[in-house]
Amino acid sequence: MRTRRSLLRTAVAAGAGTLLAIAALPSPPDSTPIDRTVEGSETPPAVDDWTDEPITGETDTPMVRYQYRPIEDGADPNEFDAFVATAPINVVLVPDDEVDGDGLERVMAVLEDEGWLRDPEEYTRYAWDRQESTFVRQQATAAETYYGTSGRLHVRCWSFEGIVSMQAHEDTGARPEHGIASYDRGLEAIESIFDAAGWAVASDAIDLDNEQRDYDGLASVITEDA
Amino acid sequence: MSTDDRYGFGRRPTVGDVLEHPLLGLERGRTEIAIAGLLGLTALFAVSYAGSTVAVGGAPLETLTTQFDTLTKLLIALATATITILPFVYAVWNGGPLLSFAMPLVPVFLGDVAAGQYVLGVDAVIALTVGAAACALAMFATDVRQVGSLRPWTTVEIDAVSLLVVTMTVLVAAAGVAQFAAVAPPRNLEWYAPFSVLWLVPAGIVGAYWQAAVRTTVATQGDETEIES
Repeated sequence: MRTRRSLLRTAVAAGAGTLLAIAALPSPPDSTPIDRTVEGSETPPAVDDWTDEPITGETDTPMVRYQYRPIEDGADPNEFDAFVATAPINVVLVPDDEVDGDGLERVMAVLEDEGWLRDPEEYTRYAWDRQESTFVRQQATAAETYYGTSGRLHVRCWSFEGIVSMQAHEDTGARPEHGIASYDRGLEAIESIFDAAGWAVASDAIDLDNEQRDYDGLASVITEDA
Repeated sequence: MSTDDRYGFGRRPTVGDVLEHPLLGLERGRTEIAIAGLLGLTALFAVSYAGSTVAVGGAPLETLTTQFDTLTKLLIALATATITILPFVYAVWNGGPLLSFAMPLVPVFLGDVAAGQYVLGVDAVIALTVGAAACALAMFATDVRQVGSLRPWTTVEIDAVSLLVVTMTVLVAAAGVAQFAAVAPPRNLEWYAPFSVLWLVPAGIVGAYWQAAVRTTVATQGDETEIES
Protein backbone atom coordinates (compact mmCIF):
# COMPACT_ATOMS: atom_id res chain seq x y z
CA MET A 1 0.00 0.00 0.00
CA ARG A 2 1.40 3.37 -0.96
CA THR A 3 1.75 5.94 1.72
CA ARG A 4 -0.06 9.22 1.57
CA ARG A 5 3.28 11.01 1.13
CA SER A 6 4.26 9.01 -1.95
CA LEU A 7 0.83 9.63 -3.47
CA LEU A 8 1.23 13.32 -2.83
CA ARG A 9 4.70 13.29 -4.39
CA THR A 10 3.35 11.55 -7.51
CA ALA A 11 0.48 14.03 -7.76
CA VAL A 12 2.83 17.02 -7.50
CA ALA A 13 5.22 15.55 -10.09
CA ALA A 14 2.36 14.77 -12.47
CA GLY A 15 0.89 18.25 -12.04
CA ALA A 16 4.24 19.92 -12.60
CA GLY A 17 4.95 17.75 -15.63
CA THR A 18 1.57 18.60 -17.13
CA LEU A 19 2.09 22.33 -16.60
CA LEU A 20 5.58 22.15 -18.08
CA ALA A 21 4.29 20.35 -21.16
CA ILE A 22 1.49 22.90 -21.57
CA ALA A 23 4.06 25.71 -21.33
CA ALA A 24 6.15 24.00 -24.02
CA LEU A 25 3.23 23.98 -26.50
CA PRO A 26 3.52 26.50 -29.32
CA SER A 27 1.23 29.52 -29.28
CA PRO A 28 -1.68 29.80 -31.68
CA PRO A 29 -1.03 32.27 -34.53
CA ASP A 30 -2.35 35.81 -34.44
CA SER A 31 -4.69 35.33 -37.41
CA THR A 32 -6.80 38.03 -39.02
CA PRO A 33 -10.44 37.09 -39.60
CA ILE A 34 -11.26 36.87 -43.31
CA ASP A 35 -14.48 38.91 -42.95
CA ARG A 36 -12.69 41.98 -41.64
CA THR A 37 -14.05 45.13 -43.33
CA VAL A 38 -11.35 46.40 -45.64
CA GLU A 39 -11.20 50.12 -46.14
CA GLY A 40 -10.86 50.65 -49.89
CA SER A 41 -8.01 52.75 -51.24
CA GLU A 42 -7.16 54.35 -54.55
CA THR A 43 -4.95 52.38 -56.88
CA PRO A 44 -1.32 53.52 -56.66
CA PRO A 45 0.30 55.52 -59.50
CA ALA A 46 2.57 52.54 -60.23
CA VAL A 47 -0.34 50.63 -61.78
CA ASP A 48 -2.22 53.59 -63.32
CA ASP A 49 -1.39 52.53 -66.87
CA TRP A 50 -3.11 49.18 -66.42
CA THR A 51 -6.40 50.04 -64.74
CA ASP A 52 -8.42 51.24 -67.75
CA GLU A 53 -8.35 48.28 -70.11
CA PRO A 54 -8.38 44.53 -69.45
CA ILE A 55 -4.92 42.94 -69.53
CA THR A 56 -5.14 40.11 -71.99
CA GLY A 57 -1.55 38.98 -72.61
CA GLU A 58 1.21 37.55 -70.40
CA THR A 59 3.73 40.03 -71.82
CA ASP A 60 1.64 43.23 -71.56
CA THR A 61 2.65 44.13 -68.01
CA PRO A 62 5.11 43.09 -65.29
CA MET A 63 2.29 41.25 -63.51
CA VAL A 64 1.40 37.83 -64.80
CA ARG A 65 -2.13 36.51 -65.28
CA TYR A 66 -1.74 32.82 -64.54
CA GLN A 67 0.48 30.27 -62.87
CA TYR A 68 1.52 27.33 -65.06
CA ARG A 69 2.73 23.75 -64.90
CA PRO A 70 4.83 21.91 -67.49
CA ILE A 71 2.72 19.67 -69.74
CA GLU A 72 5.31 16.91 -69.53
CA ASP A 73 8.67 16.09 -67.98
CA GLY A 74 11.58 17.89 -69.55
CA ALA A 75 9.46 20.73 -70.94
CA ASP A 76 11.62 23.57 -72.22
CA PRO A 77 11.06 26.54 -69.85
CA ASN A 78 11.79 28.95 -72.70
CA GLU A 79 8.90 27.63 -74.74
CA PHE A 80 5.59 29.21 -73.76
CA ASP A 81 3.48 26.44 -75.27
CA ALA A 82 5.23 23.73 -73.29
CA PHE A 83 3.33 24.82 -70.17
CA VAL A 84 -0.36 24.98 -69.35
CA ALA A 85 -2.13 27.51 -67.08
CA THR A 86 -3.53 26.11 -63.83
CA ALA A 87 -4.79 28.98 -61.68
CA PRO A 88 -5.37 32.73 -62.06
CA ILE A 89 -3.28 35.40 -60.38
CA ASN A 90 -5.80 37.31 -58.26
CA VAL A 91 -3.70 39.72 -56.19
CA VAL A 92 -1.10 42.27 -57.31
CA LEU A 93 1.15 43.75 -54.66
CA VAL A 94 3.24 46.87 -55.05
CA PRO A 95 6.07 47.07 -52.49
CA ASP A 96 7.42 50.57 -51.90
CA ASP A 97 10.45 50.85 -54.17
CA GLU A 98 12.00 53.50 -51.92
CA VAL A 99 12.28 51.08 -49.01
CA ASP A 100 15.57 49.21 -48.91
CA GLY A 101 15.54 45.47 -49.21
CA ASP A 102 13.57 42.85 -51.04
CA GLY A 103 9.94 43.85 -51.65
CA LEU A 104 8.84 40.23 -52.08
CA GLU A 105 10.31 39.38 -48.68
CA ARG A 106 8.33 42.22 -47.09
CA VAL A 107 5.18 40.76 -48.63
CA MET A 108 6.03 37.34 -47.18
CA ALA A 109 6.90 38.85 -43.78
CA VAL A 110 3.28 39.98 -43.41
CA LEU A 111 2.14 36.37 -43.86
CA GLU A 112 4.84 35.02 -41.54
CA ASP A 113 3.60 37.42 -38.86
CA GLU A 114 0.20 35.75 -39.27
CA GLY A 115 1.81 32.43 -38.39
CA TRP A 116 1.90 31.14 -41.98
CA LEU A 117 4.55 28.58 -42.98
CA ARG A 118 6.90 29.37 -45.85
CA ASP A 119 7.44 26.70 -48.54
CA PRO A 120 4.80 24.23 -47.31
CA GLU A 121 4.19 20.85 -48.95
CA GLU A 122 2.88 21.92 -52.37
CA TYR A 123 3.08 21.43 -56.14
CA THR A 124 5.70 23.29 -58.16
CA ARG A 125 4.24 25.99 -60.40
CA TYR A 126 5.72 28.52 -62.80
CA ALA A 127 5.06 31.99 -64.19
CA TRP A 128 6.21 33.65 -67.41
CA ASP A 129 8.98 36.22 -67.05
CA ARG A 130 8.50 38.56 -70.02
CA GLN A 131 11.97 40.12 -69.71
CA GLU A 132 13.86 36.82 -69.80
CA SER A 133 11.25 35.04 -71.94
CA THR A 134 11.28 32.01 -69.69
CA PHE A 135 9.16 30.23 -67.10
CA VAL A 136 10.28 30.91 -63.54
CA ARG A 137 9.56 28.58 -60.63
CA GLN A 138 7.48 29.98 -57.75
CA GLN A 139 9.71 32.50 -55.99
CA ALA A 140 7.97 32.59 -52.62
CA THR A 141 5.11 30.55 -51.20
CA ALA A 142 3.28 30.30 -47.89
CA ALA A 143 0.30 28.53 -46.39
CA GLU A 144 -1.49 28.44 -43.06
CA THR A 145 -0.41 24.86 -42.45
CA TYR A 146 2.19 22.54 -43.91
CA TYR A 147 -0.22 19.86 -45.19
CA GLY A 148 -3.66 21.46 -45.01
CA THR A 149 -5.23 18.37 -43.43
CA SER A 150 -8.62 20.04 -43.13
CA GLY A 151 -8.16 23.01 -45.47
CA ARG A 152 -5.77 25.95 -45.65
CA LEU A 153 -5.14 29.30 -47.29
CA HIS A 154 -2.21 29.06 -49.68
CA VAL A 155 -0.36 31.55 -51.89
CA ARG A 156 2.38 31.48 -54.55
CA CYS A 157 4.24 34.65 -55.56
CA TRP A 158 6.47 35.95 -58.34
CA SER A 159 8.13 39.34 -58.40
CA PHE A 160 8.93 40.83 -61.82
CA GLU A 161 10.07 44.41 -62.35
CA GLY A 162 9.18 45.36 -58.77
CA ILE A 163 5.57 44.16 -58.97
CA VAL A 164 4.51 41.04 -57.06
CA SER A 165 1.94 38.73 -58.67
CA MET A 166 0.19 36.47 -56.16
CA GLN A 167 -2.04 33.45 -56.68
CA ALA A 168 -4.16 33.12 -53.52
CA HIS A 169 -6.61 30.29 -52.89
CA GLU A 170 -8.26 28.20 -50.25
CA ASP A 171 -7.46 24.50 -50.46
CA THR A 172 -10.01 21.84 -49.61
CA GLY A 173 -9.03 19.35 -46.94
CA ALA A 174 -6.72 16.57 -48.15
CA ARG A 175 -9.08 13.74 -49.20
CA PRO A 176 -6.52 12.43 -49.85
CA GLU A 177 -5.35 15.23 -52.18
CA HIS A 178 -6.17 18.92 -52.19
CA GLY A 179 -8.62 20.62 -54.48
CA ILE A 180 -9.43 24.30 -54.88
CA ALA A 181 -12.18 25.29 -52.44
CA SER A 182 -12.19 28.95 -53.51
CA TYR A 183 -10.10 31.57 -55.24
CA ASP A 184 -12.35 34.34 -54.00
CA ARG A 185 -11.92 33.53 -50.30
CA GLY A 186 -8.16 33.36 -50.82
CA LEU A 187 -8.31 36.85 -52.31
CA GLU A 188 -10.55 38.14 -49.50
CA ALA A 189 -8.26 36.72 -46.84
CA ILE A 190 -5.19 38.35 -48.38
CA GLU A 191 -7.02 41.71 -48.54
CA SER A 192 -7.97 41.42 -44.86
CA ILE A 193 -4.49 40.36 -43.76
CA PHE A 194 -2.65 43.13 -45.63
CA ASP A 195 -5.22 45.74 -44.63
CA ALA A 196 -4.68 44.78 -40.99
CA ALA A 197 -0.93 45.06 -41.55
CA GLY A 198 -1.32 48.64 -42.77
CA TRP A 199 -1.02 48.14 -46.54
CA ALA A 200 -3.47 49.98 -48.83
CA VAL A 201 -6.02 47.70 -50.52
CA ALA A 202 -7.82 48.54 -53.76
CA SER A 203 -10.37 45.81 -54.56
CA ASP A 204 -11.33 44.85 -58.13
CA ALA A 205 -8.65 47.24 -59.37
CA ILE A 206 -7.15 45.53 -62.41
CA ASP A 207 -9.00 43.43 -64.96
CA LEU A 208 -6.62 40.53 -65.62
CA ASP A 209 -9.20 38.82 -67.82
CA ASN A 210 -8.60 35.53 -66.00
CA GLU A 211 -11.91 34.68 -64.34
CA GLN A 212 -12.04 31.10 -63.08
CA ARG A 213 -14.59 29.38 -60.83
CA ASP A 214 -15.70 31.85 -58.13
CA TYR A 215 -13.14 34.53 -59.05
CA ASP A 216 -14.34 37.22 -61.45
CA GLY A 217 -11.01 38.13 -63.10
CA LEU A 218 -10.68 41.45 -61.27
CA ALA A 219 -7.49 41.38 -59.20
CA SER A 220 -6.96 43.48 -56.10
CA VAL A 221 -4.01 45.83 -55.90
CA ILE A 222 -2.32 46.04 -52.51
CA THR A 223 0.26 48.77 -51.95
CA GLU A 224 2.85 49.03 -49.23
CA ASP A 225 2.02 52.16 -47.27
CA ALA A 226 5.34 53.64 -46.28
CA MET B 1 1.06 -4.51 -16.18
CA SER B 2 4.39 -4.17 -14.44
CA THR B 3 7.74 -3.54 -16.01
CA ASP B 4 9.67 -3.54 -12.76
CA ASP B 5 11.43 -6.80 -13.56
CA ARG B 6 12.89 -5.32 -16.72
CA TYR B 7 14.05 -2.16 -15.04
CA GLY B 8 15.97 -3.80 -12.22
CA PHE B 9 18.22 -1.67 -10.06
CA GLY B 10 21.59 -0.83 -11.59
CA ARG B 11 20.61 -1.97 -15.09
CA ARG B 12 20.46 0.50 -17.92
CA PRO B 13 17.43 0.10 -20.18
CA THR B 14 18.43 -0.96 -23.68
CA VAL B 15 16.71 -0.02 -26.94
CA GLY B 16 14.96 -3.38 -26.77
CA ASP B 17 13.58 -2.61 -23.32
CA VAL B 18 12.26 0.71 -24.53
CA LEU B 19 10.59 -0.90 -27.56
CA GLU B 20 8.88 -3.41 -25.28
CA HIS B 21 7.58 -0.77 -22.92
CA PRO B 22 3.78 -1.11 -22.73
CA LEU B 23 3.33 2.65 -23.07
CA LEU B 24 4.70 2.32 -26.62
CA GLY B 25 2.96 -0.89 -27.63
CA LEU B 26 2.01 -4.37 -26.51
CA GLU B 27 3.92 -6.45 -29.05
CA ARG B 28 7.43 -5.44 -29.92
CA GLY B 29 7.09 -6.48 -33.58
CA ARG B 30 4.07 -4.22 -34.07
CA THR B 31 5.74 -1.33 -32.27
CA GLU B 32 8.70 -1.73 -34.60
CA ILE B 33 6.43 -1.69 -37.65
CA ALA B 34 4.83 1.58 -36.48
CA ILE B 35 8.20 3.19 -35.80
CA ALA B 36 9.53 1.99 -39.16
CA GLY B 37 6.47 3.55 -40.81
CA LEU B 38 7.16 6.88 -39.13
CA LEU B 39 10.80 6.71 -40.21
CA GLY B 40 9.66 5.96 -43.76
CA LEU B 41 7.40 9.01 -43.67
CA THR B 42 10.33 11.07 -42.42
CA ALA B 43 12.49 9.81 -45.29
CA LEU B 44 9.83 10.72 -47.88
CA PHE B 45 9.53 14.10 -46.25
CA ALA B 46 13.28 14.61 -46.51
CA VAL B 47 13.27 13.74 -50.23
CA SER B 48 10.41 16.15 -50.93
CA TYR B 49 12.11 18.86 -48.89
CA ALA B 50 15.36 18.30 -50.76
CA GLY B 51 13.42 18.74 -54.02
CA SER B 52 12.75 22.37 -53.24
CA THR B 53 15.98 23.22 -51.43
CA VAL B 54 18.78 21.27 -53.09
CA ALA B 55 19.87 22.92 -56.32
CA VAL B 56 21.70 21.26 -59.17
CA GLY B 57 23.27 23.73 -61.57
CA GLY B 58 21.35 26.62 -60.03
CA ALA B 59 17.89 25.05 -60.39
CA PRO B 60 16.10 23.19 -57.54
CA LEU B 61 15.76 19.44 -58.09
CA GLU B 62 11.97 19.65 -58.37
CA THR B 63 12.25 21.67 -61.58
CA LEU B 64 13.86 18.67 -63.28
CA THR B 65 10.89 16.35 -63.04
CA THR B 66 7.19 16.60 -62.27
CA GLN B 67 7.60 13.43 -60.19
CA PHE B 68 8.12 15.75 -57.22
CA ASP B 69 4.48 16.81 -57.62
CA THR B 70 3.53 13.13 -57.41
CA LEU B 71 5.66 12.83 -54.29
CA THR B 72 3.89 15.88 -52.81
CA LYS B 73 0.54 14.27 -53.52
CA LEU B 74 1.67 11.04 -51.82
CA LEU B 75 3.21 12.85 -48.86
CA ILE B 76 0.10 14.96 -48.23
CA ALA B 77 -2.04 11.80 -48.35
CA LEU B 78 0.28 9.89 -45.98
CA ALA B 79 0.72 12.82 -43.60
CA THR B 80 -3.03 13.36 -43.48
CA ALA B 81 -3.62 9.67 -42.76
CA THR B 82 -0.96 9.77 -40.03
CA ILE B 83 -2.55 12.86 -38.50
CA THR B 84 -6.15 11.66 -38.60
CA ILE B 85 -6.65 7.88 -38.90
CA LEU B 86 -3.54 5.78 -38.32
CA PRO B 87 -3.18 6.63 -34.59
CA PHE B 88 -6.58 5.00 -33.94
CA VAL B 89 -5.67 1.97 -36.01
CA TYR B 90 -2.42 1.62 -34.08
CA ALA B 91 -4.10 2.13 -30.69
CA VAL B 92 -6.57 -0.68 -31.34
CA TRP B 93 -3.97 -2.94 -32.95
CA ASN B 94 -1.13 -2.59 -30.46
CA GLY B 95 -2.15 -0.38 -27.51
CA GLY B 96 0.70 1.94 -26.58
CA PRO B 97 -0.77 5.25 -25.35
CA LEU B 98 2.40 7.28 -25.79
CA LEU B 99 3.18 6.16 -29.33
CA SER B 100 -0.49 6.59 -30.28
CA PHE B 101 -0.28 10.17 -29.04
CA ALA B 102 3.05 10.95 -30.66
CA MET B 103 2.18 9.45 -34.06
CA PRO B 104 -0.01 12.30 -35.43
CA LEU B 105 2.42 14.89 -34.07
CA VAL B 106 5.35 13.50 -36.08
CA PRO B 107 4.35 14.91 -39.52
CA VAL B 108 3.29 18.21 -37.96
CA PHE B 109 6.62 18.47 -36.19
CA LEU B 110 8.51 17.73 -39.42
CA GLY B 111 6.61 20.54 -41.15
CA ASP B 112 7.35 22.99 -38.34
CA VAL B 113 11.04 22.12 -38.45
CA ALA B 114 11.21 22.50 -42.25
CA ALA B 115 9.37 25.82 -42.18
CA GLY B 116 11.16 27.09 -39.08
CA GLN B 117 7.86 28.11 -37.47
CA TYR B 118 6.78 26.65 -34.11
CA VAL B 119 3.12 27.50 -34.24
CA LEU B 120 -0.17 25.97 -33.12
CA GLY B 121 -1.93 25.89 -36.48
CA VAL B 122 -4.99 23.89 -37.55
CA ASP B 123 -2.93 20.79 -38.44
CA ALA B 124 -1.29 20.90 -35.00
CA VAL B 125 -4.56 21.10 -33.06
CA ILE B 126 -6.09 18.33 -35.16
CA ALA B 127 -3.01 16.22 -34.35
CA LEU B 128 -3.33 17.01 -30.63
CA THR B 129 -7.02 16.08 -30.70
CA VAL B 130 -6.47 12.81 -32.55
CA GLY B 131 -3.43 12.06 -30.36
CA ALA B 132 -5.40 12.54 -27.14
CA ALA B 133 -8.26 10.35 -28.37
CA ALA B 134 -5.92 7.62 -29.65
CA CYS B 135 -3.91 7.74 -26.42
CA ALA B 136 -7.01 7.06 -24.30
CA LEU B 137 -8.21 4.46 -26.80
CA ALA B 138 -4.86 2.64 -26.54
CA MET B 139 -5.21 2.26 -22.77
CA PHE B 140 -8.79 1.10 -23.19
CA ALA B 141 -7.90 -1.35 -25.97
CA THR B 142 -5.09 -2.82 -23.89
CA ASP B 143 -7.43 -3.56 -21.00
CA VAL B 144 -10.28 -4.77 -23.21
CA ARG B 145 -7.87 -7.25 -24.72
CA GLN B 146 -6.78 -8.40 -21.26
CA VAL B 147 -10.22 -8.96 -19.74
CA GLY B 148 -12.40 -9.43 -22.81
CA SER B 149 -14.99 -6.93 -21.60
CA LEU B 150 -15.98 -3.55 -23.01
CA ARG B 151 -16.06 -2.12 -19.49
CA PRO B 152 -12.61 -3.24 -18.41
CA TRP B 153 -12.34 -0.74 -15.56
CA THR B 154 -14.91 -2.75 -13.59
CA THR B 155 -12.81 -5.91 -13.53
CA VAL B 156 -9.20 -5.14 -14.40
CA GLU B 157 -6.84 -3.72 -11.82
CA ILE B 158 -6.28 -0.21 -13.14
CA ASP B 159 -2.66 0.45 -14.06
CA ALA B 160 -1.90 3.67 -12.20
CA VAL B 161 1.08 4.61 -14.36
CA SER B 162 -0.76 4.31 -17.61
CA LEU B 163 -3.87 6.11 -16.28
CA LEU B 164 -1.68 8.94 -14.99
CA VAL B 165 0.26 9.24 -18.26
CA VAL B 166 -2.92 9.18 -20.36
CA THR B 167 -4.57 11.76 -18.11
CA MET B 168 -1.60 14.10 -18.31
CA THR B 169 -1.39 13.73 -22.08
CA VAL B 170 -5.09 14.41 -22.54
CA LEU B 171 -4.89 17.49 -20.30
CA VAL B 172 -1.92 18.89 -22.22
CA ALA B 173 -3.68 18.37 -25.56
CA ALA B 174 -6.88 19.91 -24.22
CA ALA B 175 -4.98 22.97 -23.00
CA GLY B 176 -3.43 23.43 -26.45
CA VAL B 177 -6.75 23.11 -28.24
CA ALA B 178 -8.40 25.50 -25.77
CA GLN B 179 -5.72 28.13 -26.43
CA PHE B 180 -6.28 27.72 -30.16
CA ALA B 181 -10.07 27.88 -29.90
CA ALA B 182 -9.85 31.07 -27.83
CA VAL B 183 -8.09 33.10 -30.53
CA ALA B 184 -8.60 31.34 -33.89
CA PRO B 185 -10.72 33.16 -36.50
CA PRO B 186 -13.98 31.52 -37.61
CA ARG B 187 -12.56 29.91 -40.78
CA ASN B 188 -9.96 28.00 -38.76
CA LEU B 189 -12.54 26.90 -36.17
CA GLU B 190 -14.73 25.70 -39.02
CA TRP B 191 -11.87 23.54 -40.31
CA TYR B 192 -11.27 22.16 -36.84
CA ALA B 193 -14.97 21.64 -35.99
CA PRO B 194 -15.41 18.08 -37.40
CA PHE B 195 -12.56 16.86 -35.21
CA SER B 196 -13.91 18.37 -31.99
CA VAL B 197 -16.35 15.46 -31.62
CA LEU B 198 -13.32 13.21 -31.02
CA TRP B 199 -13.00 14.73 -27.54
CA LEU B 200 -15.84 12.42 -26.47
CA VAL B 201 -13.36 9.51 -26.65
CA PRO B 202 -10.73 10.66 -24.12
CA ALA B 203 -13.37 12.35 -21.96
CA GLY B 204 -15.42 9.14 -21.78
CA ILE B 205 -12.53 6.75 -21.25
CA VAL B 206 -10.48 8.81 -18.81
CA GLY B 207 -13.64 9.78 -16.95
CA ALA B 208 -14.73 6.15 -16.56
CA TYR B 209 -11.27 5.04 -15.40
CA TRP B 210 -10.99 7.78 -12.78
CA GLN B 211 -14.47 7.05 -11.52
CA ALA B 212 -13.54 3.40 -11.11
CA ALA B 213 -10.20 4.32 -9.51
CA VAL B 214 -11.83 6.63 -6.98
CA ARG B 215 -14.50 4.03 -6.20
CA THR B 216 -11.82 1.37 -5.58
CA THR B 217 -9.79 3.73 -3.38
CA VAL B 218 -12.82 4.67 -1.32
CA ALA B 219 -13.73 1.00 -0.92
CA THR B 220 -10.17 0.14 0.15
CA GLN B 221 -10.07 2.98 2.65
CA GLY B 222 -13.43 1.87 3.97
CA ASP B 223 -11.94 -1.59 4.61
CA GLU B 224 -8.96 -0.10 6.38
CA THR B 225 -11.14 2.01 8.63
CA GLU B 226 -13.04 -1.07 9.63
CA ILE B 227 -9.81 -2.88 10.47
CA GLU B 228 -8.53 0.03 12.56
CA SER B 229 -11.72 0.42 14.58
